[in-house]
Amino acid sequence: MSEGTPPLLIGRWTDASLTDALLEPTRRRPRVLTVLLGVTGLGTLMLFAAIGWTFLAGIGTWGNNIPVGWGFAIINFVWWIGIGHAGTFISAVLLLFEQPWRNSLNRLAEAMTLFAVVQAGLFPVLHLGRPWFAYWLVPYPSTMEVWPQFMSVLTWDAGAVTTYLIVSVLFWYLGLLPDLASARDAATTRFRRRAYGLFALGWRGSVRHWRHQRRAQLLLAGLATPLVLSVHSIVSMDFATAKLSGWHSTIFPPYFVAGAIFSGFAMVLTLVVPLRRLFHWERFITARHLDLVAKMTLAMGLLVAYSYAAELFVAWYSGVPAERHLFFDTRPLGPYGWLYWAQMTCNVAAPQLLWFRAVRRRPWALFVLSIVFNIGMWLERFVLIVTSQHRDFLPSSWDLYVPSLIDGALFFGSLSFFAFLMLLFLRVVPPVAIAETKEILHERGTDA
Amino acid sequence: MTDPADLLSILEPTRRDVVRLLAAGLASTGCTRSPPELIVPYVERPPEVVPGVPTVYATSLQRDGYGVGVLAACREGRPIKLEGNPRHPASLGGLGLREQAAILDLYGAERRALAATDPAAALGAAAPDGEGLHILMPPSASPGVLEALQRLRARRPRARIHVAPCWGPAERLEGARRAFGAAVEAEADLGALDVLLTLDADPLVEGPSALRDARRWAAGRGIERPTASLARLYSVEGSPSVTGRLADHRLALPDHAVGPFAAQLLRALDGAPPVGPWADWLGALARDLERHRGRCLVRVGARQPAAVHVIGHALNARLAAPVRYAPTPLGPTTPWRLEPLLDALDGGGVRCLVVLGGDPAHTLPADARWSARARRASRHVYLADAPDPSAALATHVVPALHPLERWGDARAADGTVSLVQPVIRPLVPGVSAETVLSTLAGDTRTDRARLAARWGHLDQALATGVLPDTRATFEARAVDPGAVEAALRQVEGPAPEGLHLSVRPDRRLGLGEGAHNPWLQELPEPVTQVVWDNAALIGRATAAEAGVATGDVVRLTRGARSIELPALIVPDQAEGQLTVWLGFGRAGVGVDAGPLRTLDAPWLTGPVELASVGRRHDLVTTQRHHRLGDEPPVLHRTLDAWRREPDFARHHAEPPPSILPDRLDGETPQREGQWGMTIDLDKCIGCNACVVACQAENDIPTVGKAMVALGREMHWLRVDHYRVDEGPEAGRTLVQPMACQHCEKAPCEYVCPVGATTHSPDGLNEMTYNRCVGTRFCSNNCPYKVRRFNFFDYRRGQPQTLRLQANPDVTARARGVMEKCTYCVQRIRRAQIEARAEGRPLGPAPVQTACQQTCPADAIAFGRVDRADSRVSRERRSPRAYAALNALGTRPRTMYLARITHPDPERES
Repeated sequence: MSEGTPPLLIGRWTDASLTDALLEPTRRRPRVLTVLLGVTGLGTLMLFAAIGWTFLAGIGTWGNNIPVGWGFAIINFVWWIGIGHAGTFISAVLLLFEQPWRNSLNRLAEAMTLFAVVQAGLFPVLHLGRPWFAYWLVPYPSTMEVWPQFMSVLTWDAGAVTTYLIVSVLFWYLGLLPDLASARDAATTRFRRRAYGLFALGWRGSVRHWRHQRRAQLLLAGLATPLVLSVHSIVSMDFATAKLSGWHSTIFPPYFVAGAIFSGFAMVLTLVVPLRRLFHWERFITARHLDLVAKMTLAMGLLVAYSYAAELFVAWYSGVPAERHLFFDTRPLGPYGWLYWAQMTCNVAAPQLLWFRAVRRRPWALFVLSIVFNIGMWLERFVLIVTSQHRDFLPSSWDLYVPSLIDGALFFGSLSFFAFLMLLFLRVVPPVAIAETKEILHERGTDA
Repeated sequence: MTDPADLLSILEPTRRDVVRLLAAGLASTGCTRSPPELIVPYVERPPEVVPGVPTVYATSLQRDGYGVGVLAACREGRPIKLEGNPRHPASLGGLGLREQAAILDLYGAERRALAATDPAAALGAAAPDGEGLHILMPPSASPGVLEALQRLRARRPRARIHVAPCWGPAERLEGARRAFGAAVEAEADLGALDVLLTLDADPLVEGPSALRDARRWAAGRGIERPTASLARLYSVEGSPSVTGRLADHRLALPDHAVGPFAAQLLRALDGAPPVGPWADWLGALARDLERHRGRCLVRVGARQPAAVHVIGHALNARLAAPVRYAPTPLGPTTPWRLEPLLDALDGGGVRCLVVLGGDPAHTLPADARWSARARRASRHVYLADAPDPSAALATHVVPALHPLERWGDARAADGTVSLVQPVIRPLVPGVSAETVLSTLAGDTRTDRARLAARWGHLDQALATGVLPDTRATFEARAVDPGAVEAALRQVEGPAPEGLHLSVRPDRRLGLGEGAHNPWLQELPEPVTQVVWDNAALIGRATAAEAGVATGDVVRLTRGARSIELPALIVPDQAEGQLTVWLGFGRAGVGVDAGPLRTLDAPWLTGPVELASVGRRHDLVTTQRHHRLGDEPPVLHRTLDAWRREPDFARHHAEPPPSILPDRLDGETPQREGQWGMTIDLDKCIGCNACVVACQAENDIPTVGKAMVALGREMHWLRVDHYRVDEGPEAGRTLVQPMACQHCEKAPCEYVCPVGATTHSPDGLNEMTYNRCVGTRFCSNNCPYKVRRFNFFDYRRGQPQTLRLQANPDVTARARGVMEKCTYCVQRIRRAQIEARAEGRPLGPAPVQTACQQTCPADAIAFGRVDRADSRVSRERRSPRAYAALNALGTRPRTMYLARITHPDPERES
């Protein structure tokens, strides 16, 4: 930590007072969150109603057609899974690289990952023509000896997302154990003590417990770190292995990973800024945290911008008419041109504001920007997925894609479901990792 | 046997119903309602019916009243598919889109709404001498119908027979009568021409001989070397036609100006210098025709006035065209007039009006005021195909039999007689027109008995479908010079000003006969690709002047009458002309142009006013219109350019290098028969018959206008249109039929996560429907976008009778499953099984796909690419052969042969 940078923990704390402060959200429930929980609960109901209707009537209720076989569902899938990546990046990669500033953010970020992956996982199943056969993508020992087709990246995709979900759950839960024990110990009612006790798995804070937990966490971090790269690389190959112009590109794996982390950090800011204000977490999620997250976002945003530039250059340099037509005509000037320019504004122009310290230190500015980035990243997937399909090689099959009301219900429903899960999480689990924040306290103590 | 209507209880079949239906199919050789026939239960299988093996009967359909021989394939008693009868001169094995769709009419639900009526009782009130008996009928070339008419005239001499001129080729026959003194049919070999000039004519798809003419025309194309000779096609027309699209030189003139143009051309051939805006064009044409004297032909469209037909005959005579004439088989005798019937109705002298179909309430011009007048008949018997508007006017509605349900005969334009035999017991308790006329004539024999009496021993003819030696004698005839002078005087005059409306029967629905057929409604109109609608076709400049865009609803006013319908801007439309297709406005689709028509000019209806009404209407086309920056993905050259660059197609045919192993190199186990297809774009006329044939063969559902608007049509085969924007061929529209290309390196296969689409050892790209989970990745990755997805269960809610048409050899597809062209794999497997059972090797081309079989132009070849002697292999070696999107390295098994145009070099310079 260099001189003059703001601290990661502000104020004088004891272990007990820190525990008390950090358990506060599970006891005190701000009215606004309860209202929000109700609203997002209704949105969640809408999501499941839309899912039910899709199952009953068929994918025809969506806007998809030929040539645009993939629409909102795949856009939402890529967007959500990308958002998940920042959580894993913060909790695993930064753990491996010993960045202590992650400690007070990782719980929230991991929960975000988990819930985002839940949303993401919905869509590839829903978008199938016959979703009840989704398990055919999994290599299970069928009595018919029929296996998935392993050349298809979708098979790998199914595996990657499932792995990611499992590792994320384990990693999150493992980190949660000491805090669940703290919550148990500080519980005021019998029910809460029992409930937290059940999930704390008998954690007593012995040195052996800590040793095992730390080792397991490190191992899982080691597993999760390559997942940050591999999951979105595989997702990107859903497109990169296709022949379609705008999809058929070798830059996709790193480009997708950068985009994923960019959007994930943006989502962290979207969540943290209001919660920090609401729960008065300014002392342990300090201005320095926000500054660091903003810098990471800027770095990833620059990578994304570079990817865009590289795509354009390669399209021009390849000399392939279909590529050039897509990148220099269809995307900027076609019927979805306004979305393309909105994407460029959100993802290339807007992040440049983060060069300014004044912006990075203003939480509300960051909040607004983070929403702009997430809109931009959603638009990026829309432009990438839809524009490539709607005008491909034979102009005779060119057509437009217009999402249906059900598409909208599914998208906004998944936003609601995500928020609903986040709000439930805030009510029952300490959203800032107590044990890990204490580490900062103790490290500072030894510094002093 | 019980009432045939009970057959429809197959909708909730019990075991007995199934057996009964099977027996009905078995009994199909004798389907008159009486005497009752023997039912053979299936426990004792009749020798000619093998479950799973189609039984094919030769029969006939009507095409504008003339006969077209068809082969009806029946499965377990249900006719499921019609093919052209190769022995029939008007088919030569091909069928047009309407004949292909006729099978669906048989099972149409609306027919069932017609209640049974005893025709004898309905007609019993007719006076013995025929006083007050008036019959309105469409023209017919059926010897049975014409014979019944004769008997009727003899029995009831005061009966009156009427034909609405707009129901048949009245102007064409009248023109022939004036020119030659007799109503004759003209015949010429379109494949042996150097120059063909069409004047508002569409000879490759319209008229009784279009299938034969298309076959002959195509036979003269598809040349192998650039040094071969190639015909040149000129078209002068107001609205783009299928033939006109193929023209090497096309002049867009309003339909009413075609006559003056023809007159001037005749004078130019006699040395008069051409004048007017088209003088240069006409001068060059006249010189080209003169150069090819004796090897050129002029065709005039059926909607042009008789005088223009006379000039057309004069032109052919002047050019020594290789054309011969024979009396028309069409009756009753011309001239046809409707006015006497209308006057009789007005005078109250019609005691019994008998209308033999034709839906006059919908198809007659508005000034006939049919709906009002028909009510004046004290008794009105209507022979109905469907509960149409005319049926609502009748006092007695008698259901008509479908041609596949009755006995009869038909004559082709060349006189050849073909038989009509039932292939299924009637699904509705109906009668034929011949029965109605015979009943009136007091002839109580069955149609079959009459048929046997007329033609003698029928067995051989029923097997082939064609009666031998019935072709008329065609001979040369001299044109009456006086008639030509009169015609010239009639045609020549100051050109009328303003905006003119021209109406024409829709290429799919006719005058409305196809309105209830969903295949036809959903078939892209062969020129504009509009589905489920009609429109006012309008040229670019005219539209700009009127401030009208495609989809704007416009009001067309003529006198006191007006119609409102959407405008459709068509680039090749003549300025100053609006064209509206007839046949719409029935069954709730489109708008009827009838109110603007008049009896004296049913087609060229004169000046109209155009006004936008400020509303929009969504016109749905299967292909959207886009401006293309680059060359269209269809290869084409002029004959001269080909001569300069003989191997222009080579780099579009040779597969690009690949690091991956080649499937044909023996990496996968080889099976006898490697299948491939070639489509000769120089032969293809873009008529869309193949699309309907594919739909009929492969149980492809219709999805409705709203779904087509969303881009979800299910056609496995489509005909793509591309308009050349730049270069010497600018303005030309090219067509390219597009179905699954069966790529050897198929982009769809490697992306499917469940292996639902795979490659067969004989080179087919196969879909395993019940393994498909519906990720749609295969479609995304298909550069040809030929895969079709079942977004909904499209068969839900459709009349269950339509399912009787389903081909049992084709796998049913569930909701959520991808489907596409299979190269008619069911036909391939059948041929393989038969060859194996008979212990013989497969020939070079043992299978015809459905699209290939129906193609009137014979543009499609299908067969084994592992046999050098197959037509498909030969065509793949052609210097014109290319693969669509060859640069992608997909190595399609379908290859195309480039289109070769032959513009006049004189014009080029």
